[in-house]
Formats: sequence, C-alpha cells, structure tokens
Amino acid sequence: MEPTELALSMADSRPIHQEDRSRFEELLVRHQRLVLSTAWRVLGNLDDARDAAQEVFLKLHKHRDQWDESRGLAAWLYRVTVNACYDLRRRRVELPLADSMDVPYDAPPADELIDLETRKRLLREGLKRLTEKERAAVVLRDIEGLSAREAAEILGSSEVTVRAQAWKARLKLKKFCDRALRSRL
Amino acid sequence: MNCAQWEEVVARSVEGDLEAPEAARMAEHLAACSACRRLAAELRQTKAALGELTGEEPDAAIYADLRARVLERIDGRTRWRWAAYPAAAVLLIGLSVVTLLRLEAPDSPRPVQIAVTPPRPVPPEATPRQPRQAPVRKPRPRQPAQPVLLARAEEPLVIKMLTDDPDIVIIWLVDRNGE
Repeated sequence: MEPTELALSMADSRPIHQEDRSRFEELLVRHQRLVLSTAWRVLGNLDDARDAAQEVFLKLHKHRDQWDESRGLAAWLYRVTVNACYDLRRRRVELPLADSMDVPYDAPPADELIDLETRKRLLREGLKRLTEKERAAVVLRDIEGLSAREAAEILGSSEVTVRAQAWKARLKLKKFCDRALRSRL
Repeated sequence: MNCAQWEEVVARSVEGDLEAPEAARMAEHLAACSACRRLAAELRQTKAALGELTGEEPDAAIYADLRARVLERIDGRTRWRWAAYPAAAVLLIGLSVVTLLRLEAPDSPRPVQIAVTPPRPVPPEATPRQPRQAPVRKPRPRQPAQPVLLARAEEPLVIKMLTDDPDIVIIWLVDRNGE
C-alpha cells in the first residue's frame, strides 16, 4: 500500500486505512453538534468550547477500536465532553460565582413580563455563574433534554444527585433573571 | 412552613422529584399561596426557556473549523510519524558509525611512528662505578626515550613524525649536536 494511503494512529503504530479516516470523518460530522453545543453551554464561551470539542474528537479517534456504534456514542461523547469542559475550566480563571446567586428567598416581582429572548439571554449569562456540577446537570437535563437517569450515567452520579443539582440550578437561574430585571427597573 | 421553606419543595416538584405524599401537600399549599404558585410557574418558564437554547447553535463555519482542526491534528501526527521513522533510522545508523569510528580511533591522534633505537652505550668515564676495577661511569639522568634514528656519523638525524592525516608528515633534521 502506498505510504500516502496509510496513516499511523495516535494510539499505536498500526496503520489506519483511508476508509477508517472517512469513517471517522462521518462520525465527526454526525456528532459535532452534540459535542460542540454541549461544550458551549457548559463553558459559556465558544472559543473554549471549540478547544474542548477538539480534545473530545481526538480522544474519540484515539479510542476508535472501542467504538460500539450499536450502543450509540452519544452517552460516551456527553461524558467525555463534560469532563473535557471541567478540565478546561480548571486551567482557566474561573468566573467568581456572584454571591447573589444564593440569595435567600425573595418574593418574585409582581407582574413582571419578560420576553423569551430576554430570558434566554439572561439564562446564558446566568449559566456561567452556576457551579460546574449544577451547570452540567441543567445543561444535560433542560438543554440537551436527557432524562435524569441518562444525565446521571454521563456525569457518573446518582439520579437523586442530578435532580438536586438541576432544581438548584433552575432556582438560581430564576433568581438571577429576577435580579437582573430589578436592576433594569 | 413559610414560603421560604416551600421554595425547595416547589423547585423539586418542577424537577419531578417529589414523592406522592409530598406532592399532595405542596399542591394544597399552592392552592392557598399565590407567591408559591408564581414561583412554580416561573421555574417552569425557566426550564422551558433553557430548552429553547437547544435550537441555538454555533455557525456552520465554526463546525467546519472544528473538523478541519481535528483532522489536521490527526494527519499531522501521521506525517510526523512517517518522517520520524526514517529520521530515527538515519540517526541510529549515524550514531553507530560514529561509535565504531571512535572505538577504532580514540581521541588521541595516531601513534607517532618513529624509529627508536636503544640508547647508545655510555663511555666508561661518564658513569660512576662501584669501587671495583670496572670503569667509572658518569651518571646520566634518565630521559624519556628520545627518538633517535640510526645514522652514520657524518649524516644528520632524520626524524619523521606521521600524523593522523596521511597528507601531513613532520620531518625533523637534527645534527649530532641536537640542533
């Protein structure tokens, strides 16, 4: 086989053939939205998300012998993506959690109308201020639409823990939006 | 319980995390508390708005850039590996040759090839002698073997020193007085 048709793998010295590369490219295209969008939500920053997504796919390529497409790669990709995001955040300066994210109960403002786009914008900002675990839980549950069981499996946690992280995250986000609205008044 | 205490229960109910008895108690409270009803509604709105974020995606160009970066990294490592093997082979061969050359020719230059003759016998009067009948010889200091070439009395001594460069030969002409 001509050298141009061979490529040595990252994991070992076995050559991978062109069809392997094509197969990997197909997987890349198929799962890029899952990986990049999840990373974007968890990190809140597109540049960081792209770095994390790149690491995820390089890891996917490295472990290509362990692909089991019959079971689907989605759960594995979610898990690796979340972990890659955690690793990246540890290398970056963390946004300090706004201490007001844990304010005591306050009655919500009456007759506050908030349009969906404003709420989405505020939520994007609020996501950055959650803890790692709360953010991951609410991203997987509410944005990616996974069940508590699926999210728990991806996060290596229990359903009870994931549910708790998700509702705490929603509560914090709601309060963040309320506070932002109040500050505009 | 006051509303502050119900806050967690309401939040858990939106998550679907309440057992039936607790859910029933909460429903009873919500019927009587507009603030908690509002809290429940807004938490559901928050959950729904988060779901709307699913439709927001990076531009197609971002995805294309991601794919290009990943494939470039994979192909780059491939090219590096293909270059590394012959380069490593050349390096190993080179190191082997250098090692062999050094074993055959250590750092010191080729030994100088000179003709050495045993020192000429010293005249009897030059060396001290034991108190015997043997002639006294004058003591001569021990000197390292001097390169001396056999030569006839009327001819100068020729000392030829060979170096590790075959094209370079050092020749000394020394008369019998050592000059």
